[in-house]
Amino acid sequence: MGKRKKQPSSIDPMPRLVQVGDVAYCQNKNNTRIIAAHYYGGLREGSGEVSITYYGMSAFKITSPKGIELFFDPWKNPCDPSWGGIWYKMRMPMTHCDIGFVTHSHFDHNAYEMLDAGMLMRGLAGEYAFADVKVTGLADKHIVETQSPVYTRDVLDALYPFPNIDKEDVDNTIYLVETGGLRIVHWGDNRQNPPQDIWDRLTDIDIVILPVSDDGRMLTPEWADRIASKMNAKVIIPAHYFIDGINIEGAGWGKTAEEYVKAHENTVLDKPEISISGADIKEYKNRVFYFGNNVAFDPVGIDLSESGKISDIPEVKPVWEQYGK
Amino acid sequence: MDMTKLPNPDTWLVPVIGDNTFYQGVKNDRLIAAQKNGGITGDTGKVSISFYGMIAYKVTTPQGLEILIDPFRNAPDLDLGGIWFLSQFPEIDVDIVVSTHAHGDHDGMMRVKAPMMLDRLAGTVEIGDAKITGFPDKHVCNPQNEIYDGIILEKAFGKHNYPPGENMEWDNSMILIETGGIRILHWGDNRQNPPQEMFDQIGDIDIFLSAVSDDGHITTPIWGEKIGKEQLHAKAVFPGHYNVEGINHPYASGIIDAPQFTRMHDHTFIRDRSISFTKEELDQYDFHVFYFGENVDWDVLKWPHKFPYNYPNADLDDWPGDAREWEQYKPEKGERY
Repeated sequence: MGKRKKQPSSIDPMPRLVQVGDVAYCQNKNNTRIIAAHYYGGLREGSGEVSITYYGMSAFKITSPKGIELFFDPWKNPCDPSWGGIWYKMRMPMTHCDIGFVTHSHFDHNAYEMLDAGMLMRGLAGEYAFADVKVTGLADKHIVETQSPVYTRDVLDALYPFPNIDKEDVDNTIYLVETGGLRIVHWGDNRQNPPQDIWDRLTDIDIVILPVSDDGRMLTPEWADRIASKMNAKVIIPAHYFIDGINIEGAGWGKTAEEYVKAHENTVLDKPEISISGADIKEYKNRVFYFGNNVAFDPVGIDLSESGKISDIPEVKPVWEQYGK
Repeated sequence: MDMTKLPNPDTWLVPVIGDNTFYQGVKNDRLIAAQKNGGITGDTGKVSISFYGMIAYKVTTPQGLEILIDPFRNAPDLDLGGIWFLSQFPEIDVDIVVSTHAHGDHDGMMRVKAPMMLDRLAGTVEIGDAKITGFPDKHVCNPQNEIYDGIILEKAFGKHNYPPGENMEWDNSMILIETGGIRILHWGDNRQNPPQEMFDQIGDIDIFLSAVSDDGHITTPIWGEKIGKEQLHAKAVFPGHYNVEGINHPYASGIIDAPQFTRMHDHTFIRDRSISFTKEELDQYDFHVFYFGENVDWDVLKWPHKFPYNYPNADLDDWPGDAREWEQYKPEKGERY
């Protein structure tokens, strides 16, 4: 028997991945709302308020005064097991929006197939204008060094050991939404120190959505404070924290943002949606609005530690007995 | 963890639905440059157009921003007309990938390594030296060609295909790119009769990336002339959505190519992989057809459909066992007993 030769060098490094791609053809809705907004500049008379709805992780729906629904960063479980297993107890429900945005291509941000969207934008850079909404995409890079006491570089290397990715150079886009007189920033998972030309665009911000939690999985409380004060934000909305019923313990996050909230002037919200106008928040300075566990759908109610105590399984009707004898 | 070394069999396939740029190692550094400096390269003064098959066109702005519109793929659901393409779309790097609508021959964004995706765009995006505007309208539901009328098309796809009540597949966004003083419209598969106010908003255009083929699978030559000449006053017209040997399956959608439409008008058969224009050069033309034919900007034979997993691929000499077992009876003297 001869000696086995080497495999050809052109071998596919990820032979098991099937690139299904986009699935918008499955959507049942159509673009009628988009066409209406194109011709009429909106979908209703301006309400004067911008509403913000929380969907867990970094997922938010921002509705403009004239009814355009923008959705940011839908999440899903990783599609292959090398991402550290299962992250969530559930799927984010299929959600309607007019425009879906993705800040970066990590699974906790990029599940745009779960959006019943009129249009989708990933990594939008530049200035986008539609109806009563203006969105500026600022292309930059992902957090590399969290400086968290828990999620050190060694821990992250062990959690997400990808050979195919240069971790220093993962992309992220910051979105600046201007609608209803408010300037709202969705930070994604951007690094703490973007260059000055990006800071120059992020001045006089009304609301900033920051991925801050008490364990500093993405932004530590210290960094969140620095970023918010640098852009002179009136309101901070924490995101990317642990939510009971959605996130699985130990999958890369452990804590909520409650300590962070308590350390600031705060408004703890008791429902997943808030409507804000510029006049409501003009007195605030770095005030934290915290959604906590309030998300716009029902999280999983099962407590896994109670799993031995499930109720009796109902008997089925013995239809087959009619054929007896 | 190296994904190739997972203790799973190769046949355990992992579907990547939606965004797959993580696996492609896409980088946004060129976009950052465009955002910071207004462009990527020095100003060439010319807009360059190249063809990628079906109706995929790449527009390169004078300052080097590459915008690819409507890459194709075989739709993941075989109910959508089965296998249309013999080749896979090449895994090319571009800056922005745009799709006009959610049909497999237009939404193969997962094949393209692009840091920025605009899917079914409406509204205006300004980045670098490009301004991209989406005009949301509806898909063709009755091409009025010899083969397809609206009823056959509806039966073939099994879906109601015109408003009201059609689904996202039967919508379409026309894409207008304005760069270097040139206005380029990609038609997608739009219906022939968008409202007049939409034509008024689009205005006159310089380059019409059309869906005209001789069989009129989407836009018939007659409709192509009505739209391009009478409504858009296009200076240059590029046929699209036509058959290219080696890319399109000959029997999948029954499409043919577009030389007759080309010869009906002032025309140029392009022999290169791309063509560039300045605004002054374009102003000389009036409904001049530029036909790429089979000159796509990639090597078709290099992108076959891969098998879902790697079959073993050892040399025949390395095959296990004894391939010449009978030689134990070989005579000690001579060749034959």
